Amino acid sequence: MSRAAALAFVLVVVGGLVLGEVFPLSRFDMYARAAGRREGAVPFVLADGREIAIEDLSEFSALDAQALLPPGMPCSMEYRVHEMQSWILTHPAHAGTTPGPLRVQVGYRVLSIAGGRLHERRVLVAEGRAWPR
Amino acid sequence: MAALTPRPRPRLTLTPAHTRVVFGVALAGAWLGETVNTYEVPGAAAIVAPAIWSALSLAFLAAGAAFLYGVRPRLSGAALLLLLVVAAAVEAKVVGRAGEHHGKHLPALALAAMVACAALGRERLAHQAACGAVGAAYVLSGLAKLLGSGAAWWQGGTLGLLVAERAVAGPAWLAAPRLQVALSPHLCSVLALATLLIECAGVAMLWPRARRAWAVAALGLHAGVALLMGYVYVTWVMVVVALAFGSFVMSPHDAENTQAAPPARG
Repeated sequence: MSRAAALAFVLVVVGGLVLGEVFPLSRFDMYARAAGRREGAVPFVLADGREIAIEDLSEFSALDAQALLPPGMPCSMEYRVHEMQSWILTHPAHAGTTPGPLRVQVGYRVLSIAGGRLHERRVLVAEGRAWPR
Repeated sequence: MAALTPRPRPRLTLTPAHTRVVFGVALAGAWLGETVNTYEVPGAAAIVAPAIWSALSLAFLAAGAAFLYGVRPRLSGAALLLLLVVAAAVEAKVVGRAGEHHGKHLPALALAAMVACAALGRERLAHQAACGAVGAAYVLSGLAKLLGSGAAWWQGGTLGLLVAERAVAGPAWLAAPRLQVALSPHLCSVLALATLLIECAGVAMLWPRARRAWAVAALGLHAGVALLMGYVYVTWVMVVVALAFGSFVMSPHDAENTQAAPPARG
């Protein structure tokens, strides 16, 4: 065993556990507390009822990006929600222009596994209008 | 009176040659990740002007090239590390969430260990220290799961739900195989347990002879994570490959002195 490697190993483990997220240290605890979840929320976007990627839309109006976060349900894909929020905020409709022709709805597929099958219910959290890109 | 001779500068030699490319990709990936994460946030340009970020990127490129080609490794390595720390601080300020993107951590940890050795005048230990630091990151990840969820982490439903989420949200061609895995609790338990074991076995990086075997297992782990979860940790893979299959020799003497030195007698 290399003593230098062992010393670095101990310093990083102890530093990570004690200091947490102090770059470049980290606890690397992504999904570490995932056990016990019975449901998982997956974001989706509908344009006139058809599922679509948010990046295929632009010039959003009346769509509150802050309302996109999952309401009281576990979501392991919040990074995707943040990306969607960013897209909406960076592609707003210009003042005085006509609202887009597409009715945009953002919601969550709430998934659960029971009896060897995948179950799904849908929850809508925000609605607005946009133009196709 | 003895003539004054310049103090020899340390040099870094990466072997085999492609180790330079592999570690370079890891460093570039870390910086690119920082750039994307920062500038995808609305208003980021108002906090850090793109011109400043471009200048930092050029500095990172220059320091990276110098480090990988062994020029002033103590200085160029420290500059690389400092730039990564600055970028991480900017990202935390702009994004408002720290520790979410781990792609930058492994290259930075390996660098930090090498730079620390050089700063302490222990250049020859740089590679070993980097291996220890990288192994520790994997062990921490395993420990976090054990501390956060205990044995429940490898019960089938835990990984099953995570994979099911990526089955409905990921690329269409992966939906069916992901769903098959998600709906098989026994398979999910085996995969979760294997993940935990491989992460905790990161301690193998302390033993030079065990590194390659563990690195192969870690590559399998990353392949599985990419296929089932959609997370492609290129920077982590590259750092593990570079350290386990390559060699970073930081010599306290420069190459010319080493080559010119007469063979020791007696």
